[in-house]
Amino acid sequence: MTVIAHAGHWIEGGIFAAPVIIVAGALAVSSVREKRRRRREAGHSDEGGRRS
Amino acid sequence: MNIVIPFAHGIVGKRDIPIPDYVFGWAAGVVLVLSFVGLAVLWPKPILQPEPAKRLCFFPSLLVDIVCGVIGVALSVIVVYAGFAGVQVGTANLEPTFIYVTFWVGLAFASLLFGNVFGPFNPWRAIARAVAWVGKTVSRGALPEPIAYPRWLGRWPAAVGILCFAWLELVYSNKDDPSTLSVLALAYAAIQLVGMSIYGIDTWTERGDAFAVYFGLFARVSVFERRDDEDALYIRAPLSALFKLDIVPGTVALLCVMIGSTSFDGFSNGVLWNDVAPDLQKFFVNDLGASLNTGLELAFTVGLLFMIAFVFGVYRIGVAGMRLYDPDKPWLVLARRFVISLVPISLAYVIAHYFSLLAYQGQAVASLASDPLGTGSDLFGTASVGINYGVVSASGIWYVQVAALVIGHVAGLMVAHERAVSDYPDSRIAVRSQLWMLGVMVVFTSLGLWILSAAGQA
Repeated sequence: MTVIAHAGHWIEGGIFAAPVIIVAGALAVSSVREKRRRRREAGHSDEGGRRS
Repeated sequence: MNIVIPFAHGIVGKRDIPIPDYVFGWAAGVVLVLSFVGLAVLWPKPILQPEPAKRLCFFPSLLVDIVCGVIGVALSVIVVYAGFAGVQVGTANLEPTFIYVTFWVGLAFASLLFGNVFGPFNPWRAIARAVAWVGKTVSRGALPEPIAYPRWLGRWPAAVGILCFAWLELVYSNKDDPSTLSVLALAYAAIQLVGMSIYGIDTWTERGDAFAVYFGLFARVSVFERRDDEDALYIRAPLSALFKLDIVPGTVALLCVMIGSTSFDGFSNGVLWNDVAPDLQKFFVNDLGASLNTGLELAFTVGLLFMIAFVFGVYRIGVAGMRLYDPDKPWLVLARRFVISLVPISLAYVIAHYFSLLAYQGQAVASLASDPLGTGSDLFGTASVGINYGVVSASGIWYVQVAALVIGHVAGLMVAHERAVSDYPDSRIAVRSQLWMLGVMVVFTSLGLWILSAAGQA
């Protein structure tokens, strides 16, 4: 596929994407933390529900 | 087989910048992150709602509408006539430069600086208002009421209209043909007049007239606002009018078309696209049997649609991320609530991509005004005025582009932050949810700078 042969230009332009990669990483970490926090809160509220 | 890449749009010479282009991209990313932190710390409550505004001076709304409406209609007639009667050479006829530079680009800049400039000059609205006034006078106020505008239709007509204009400007190979432009201008005027007659002048202008909606969105960034009920001109906080925008269906699509089409304009001048487009063209020519010209237009159509889809995809991911903090709200509700943050970005893209076009090609209006038909006339004695390419250097253009993109995206962050702190009672949730909008802004800033950098090297 000839289009793939131009991947070099994408890689060359990829240096512009460094801030995007850093922010994307930060967002991924924050998402995982948020999901864990929600799971923890859901677990606590279930426990509380069973005790009462 | 001869493969041709046409349409070099903006003119950018060799830049003399002491540091690599990508460093500007990194610096812009740092500015956005610092702005995000600053907003989180210093902007805990809404400050742009309700709109802070102060009366500036008396403004004779009706008189301005009549005078500007007459000027708008007269200009339209001259431009369309020039397209039919003048020489059929794009650079020698007034029409292509007037439509693509003065109208399309110049009015976007004017909307930012002076508010809704296009409103009073809008020729279709002026004609419709004049006809309605005559009709009411003759029938003694017995004109039928307009039909209620369907809520679901929203700004979809405007989105489709801007997409069609973008296709004309960026894809269609005959885009500079004056008589073709005149036919299209008349067709567009006819659609507007029919739309206004069915749904009412103001309703259609605010929803269906693609150009009125387009320039009207940019005017909401401006500090100037006319209030017809008071005959007064007000000064307001920049961006504050965005929060009064009625977010109807089609608004997200419209903003994605606006940003995506401007992005494609820059992208199509870059090295990457100049490599990819011939291959796409070959595919359409060799595999699907299209002619060379049609194959190229199909390739550019694919590129345009891809770029719009890319912009939508980035915004879609950003909103999906925000839903982590507000899972009860449907995606579409959140997308519409925060779509106003894309307006400053769209404006920034327009300024960054078209500043050079306005600075250079805009000067051609002086000579074309004296010789609108290209027949050698010299009506105002300016027919021999040339374009001064020294008015701004290539480096100066690059600095304007970088500044526009950075300021526009910081403004986008501010709008999204204002919306978040007014929607979420817990300011911590508001700030966390905006991490995703920060991501959207960083992507669009990096994309914009990469596109402009690549276009400058092509």
